[in-house]
Amino acid sequence: MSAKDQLIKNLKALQATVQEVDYQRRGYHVEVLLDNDKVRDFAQVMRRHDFYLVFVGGMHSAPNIEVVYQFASFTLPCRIMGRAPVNGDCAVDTICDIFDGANWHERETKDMFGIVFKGHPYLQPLLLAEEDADLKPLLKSPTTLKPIEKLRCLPPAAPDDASAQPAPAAQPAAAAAEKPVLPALPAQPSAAAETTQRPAGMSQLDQTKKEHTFYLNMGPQHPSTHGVLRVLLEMDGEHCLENEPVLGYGHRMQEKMGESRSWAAFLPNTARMDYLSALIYNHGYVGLIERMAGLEVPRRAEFIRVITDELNRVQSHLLWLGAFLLDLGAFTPIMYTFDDREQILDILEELTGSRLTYSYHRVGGVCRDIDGRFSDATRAFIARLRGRFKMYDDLVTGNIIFIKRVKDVAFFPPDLARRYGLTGPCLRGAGIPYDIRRSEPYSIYPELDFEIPVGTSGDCLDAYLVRVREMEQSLRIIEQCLDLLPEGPFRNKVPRRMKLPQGDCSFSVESSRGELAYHMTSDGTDVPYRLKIRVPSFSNLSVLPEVCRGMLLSDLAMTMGTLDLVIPEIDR
Amino acid sequence: MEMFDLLPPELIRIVISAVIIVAFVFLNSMVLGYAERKLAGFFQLRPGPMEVGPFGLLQLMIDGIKLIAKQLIIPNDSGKWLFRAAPLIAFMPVVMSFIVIPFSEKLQVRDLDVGLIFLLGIMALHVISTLLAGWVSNNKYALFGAIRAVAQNIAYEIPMLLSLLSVVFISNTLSMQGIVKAQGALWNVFVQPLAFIIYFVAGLAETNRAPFDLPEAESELTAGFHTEYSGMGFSLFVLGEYTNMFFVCSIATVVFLGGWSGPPLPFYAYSGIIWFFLKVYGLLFVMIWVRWTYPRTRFDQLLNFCWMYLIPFSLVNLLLTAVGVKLFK
Repeated sequence: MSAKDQLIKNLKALQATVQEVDYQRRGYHVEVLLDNDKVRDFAQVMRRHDFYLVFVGGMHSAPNIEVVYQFASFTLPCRIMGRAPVNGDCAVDTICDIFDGANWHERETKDMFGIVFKGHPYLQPLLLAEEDADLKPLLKSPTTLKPIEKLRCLPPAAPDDASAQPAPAAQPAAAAAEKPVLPALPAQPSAAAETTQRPAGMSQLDQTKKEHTFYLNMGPQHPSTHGVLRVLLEMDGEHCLENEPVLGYGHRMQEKMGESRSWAAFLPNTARMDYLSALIYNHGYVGLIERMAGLEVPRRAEFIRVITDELNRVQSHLLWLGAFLLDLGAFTPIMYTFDDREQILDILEELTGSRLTYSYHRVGGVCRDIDGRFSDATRAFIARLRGRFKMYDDLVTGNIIFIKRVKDVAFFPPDLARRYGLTGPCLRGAGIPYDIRRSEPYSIYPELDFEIPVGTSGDCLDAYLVRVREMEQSLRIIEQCLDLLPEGPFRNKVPRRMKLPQGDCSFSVESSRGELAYHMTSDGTDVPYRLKIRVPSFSNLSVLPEVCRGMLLSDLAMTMGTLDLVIPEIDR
Repeated sequence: MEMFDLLPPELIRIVISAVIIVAFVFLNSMVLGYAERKLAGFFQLRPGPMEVGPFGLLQLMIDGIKLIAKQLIIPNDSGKWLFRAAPLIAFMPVVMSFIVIPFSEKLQVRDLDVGLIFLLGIMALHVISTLLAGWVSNNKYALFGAIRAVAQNIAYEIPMLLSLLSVVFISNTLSMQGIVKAQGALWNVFVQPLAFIIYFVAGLAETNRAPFDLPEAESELTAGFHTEYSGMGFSLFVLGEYTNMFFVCSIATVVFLGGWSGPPLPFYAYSGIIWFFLKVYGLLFVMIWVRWTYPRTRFDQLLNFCWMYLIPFSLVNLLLTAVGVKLFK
C-alpha cells in the first residue's frame, strides 16, 4: 500500500469525507471535510505522516464560518486541504501544540474572523492592533455572504456538505471499520511543548519572566530587523532567553483587497508584498487564475516567465547576501552585491518598465515580448556574475571570522521545519531537497535541467551555501531558457472581466524565501470570494522563538539575517 | 619680547605645545575622517565625499559645523552631568597622550623617563568614558556597549602591555626617545615580529575598530555606547576615537617601526617628522582597510581570542625575549 493510500485510509478513519480531487484543476490532491471536533485528530494524522503545515485560514460562508487547513509533505507529492466548520461558539480546537507554526496562523485567523481556537496559549491580536481585536475584517456582510454550496467546485458533483451534519451517513463503512495504522510520532523536543502552554498576558514572555532578567525591544526601528518588525527579547546579560516577534506594523490587509476587486485589479498588489521577489509573486497569482479558469498559456510566455522569475530570484539572493553580511558587521560586500543587482534591475527595467514592484506577468502570458537586446544583456550579465561569484567566495566563504560566526550556531532541522512550516533555503540547508519547482512543478520547470542544492547540517552556513549555489543554478536555468526560447505569441487574449468558475483552487510557487501559496475561493463572479495568501517569511519567522532560545544577541541578529525576512510580506 | 621674558620659559613652552596639540588633534581627525570616507568609498566602488570643495576635501569641515550647530539632546532620567562629562573624558586623555610622543628627534613636548607607562596609563583612562557614556545614557543598548567595551579593553590591555614589555627588555628604557634611539637601523618589528602583530591586533581592539567594534556594533546595538549622543557629544567621541587610533599607531611606530628614524629625505631638516607621519598613516591605512573588509567577531569569540591566544603567545614571547636578553647581552 502506498504512503498516500495509507494516509487516505487514516483520514477516512476520522469519520471525515475524504475526496481525491483533480490536481490540475484544484492545485491540491485530497480534500477532507471534517467535523468540528476532529480537527486535532486530523492534525495528529498529518503530523504522524510527516506533513508540514502550509497554512491555517478561514472562510466566511453561510451557514457557518469554516476553518481551512492546508498540509503538504516534503517527500510525498500530496497536498491536503482540510475544512472544518466552527461550532456554535465560533470555536474550534487549536492544533498549535501539534504543529507549532499553527500558533501564528491561528492568531491571524482569530484577528480576521474572530474564530476562537480552544486551548491556544496566547490568542491575542497578531497582525491587527490591540484596539482592533473585535474588527474581524474578513467577515462578510449580509449582502456579500454566499451560501457554501455556491463556493464548492461544480464539475465532479460535490458530496453532501459534511460540515453541516456531523458523521455523514455516506461514510464508507469498510474504511471506518478498518483499524488505522499510524506511523510513529517523530521525537519532539520537550521544551517546545512546555512553552506553548503559557497562559495569556500582556506579552507571551510575561508569564515566564525571571527576576534578574530584563526586556529589550529590538525594533521596530533597529538596523538588523530589515523593516518594521519588533522582537521583544527577554535578556539575561547578553543572552536572549526568550524572544517574541511582534508583527503588524506594516499590515495592509492584502487579503481583503483581494476579495474587494476583480482578479485583474489585484495583480499589482502581489508585487507589493515581497518586493524582492515581485515577479515570482506575479507568477503565482497569474498561475492561480489560469489554473482556476483552465487557461492555456503560450509556450514562449512560459519561458519568459521563468527567465524573469529566475532573474528576480538571483536579484533577491544578491541583496540577501549583502544584507546578511551587513548583519555580521561587514560593510563592504553589500556595495558589490548591489552593483550586480543594479544590472539585473536595469535589464528588468528595460523589459518591464519598473525596477522593484513589477506587474509584468499577465493572465494568459506576459505584458511585453523579449527581444534580442534583452537576451544579449542577460547573457552578458550571466558571464559577469559567474566571474563575481569567485570573488564573493574568496572574500566571504573562506573568511575565518565569517565561518566562526555562522557555523553551528542556529540549526533548522527537518522536524522543526515540519512543525513550523519552514520552507526555502533554510530547509534545504538541512538536507531536504524540497523545492516547489521540482516537487509540484509549474510552468516549464520540469523540462529544464537544474539541481536543488542542499546542505547537510542545517545551520546558517548551510543556508548561506544553499543560497549561493541556488544563484548559480538560476543562471543555468536562464541560459537554458534563452537557448530553448520558442517563437510564437507571448500572450493569449483573456477578457478582463472573465468570470472565474465557482470553487476553490490553490497554486504554489517557490519564491526566493520558500513556498508561496495562493488559495482562492470563487463564487462564480470575477471578484474572488476569498483569497488566502500563504507567505514563506511568515512561517519562517515563526521558528525564531524556538531556534534562538538562549542565544547571544549577535547570534540572534545573524539568525534573523539567515531567515531572509521581508517584513511587508509577513504583515501583508 | 619683554613680556615673554617675564614668564618662565617652561610656561610658554607648555602653552604653545598645548595649542599645537589641540590644533593637531582636530586636524588629524579631519584628515582621518576624510581618509576613512574616501578609502571606504574606494573599497566599496563608490566615489565617497565629492560635493564640498575639490574632491570633497571640505566635507569634514562642513560636517564639523553641522555637528556644532546640532542640539545636544539629553535623555530624561539620564545622569545629566555625567552625560555631559563623558565625551570630554573620552577626548581629554588622548590629548594628554601627545605629551610624550616624539614626532621627531627634537619635536616632543616632554621626554618622560616613564613615557611608555604614562601612555598605557592614559590609554586605560579612555574606557572610563565609554563606561560612563553607556551607563548614564539610561539606554539598554548603550549599557550593552559599555559593558562590552569594559570587558574588551581590560582583556586587550594585557597582551598589549606584554608585547610592549618585551621591547622594553631589549631597549632597556621606558623613554620614548630612548626606545627610538635604541633601535638604530634594525627596527624592533624585525626583532619582535610576534610582539608587533599582537600589539597591532590588541590595538584594533583597544580602539574599538572592526573587526572588534563590538561596543558600537550597529547591527546588534544600533550604535552602542553613544546611541543617545547627538551633536558635539557624539563628535567628541568620534574625535576621541580617531585620536586614539593615531595614538595607538604612533606607539606602534615608535616602539616597533623605528619612530622618526629613516634614511634622509630631500627636506633634510624635516625628514624625521616626515618619516614618522608616513609610518603612522601607513598603519592607519591598514586599520581602515581591515575595517572595511572583515565582518565583526562575536563577543565571546573576541574574549576567547584574547585569553586563549594573544595572552599566552605574548607571555611566551616575553619569556623568550628575557632568555635571549640574558644570553646575548
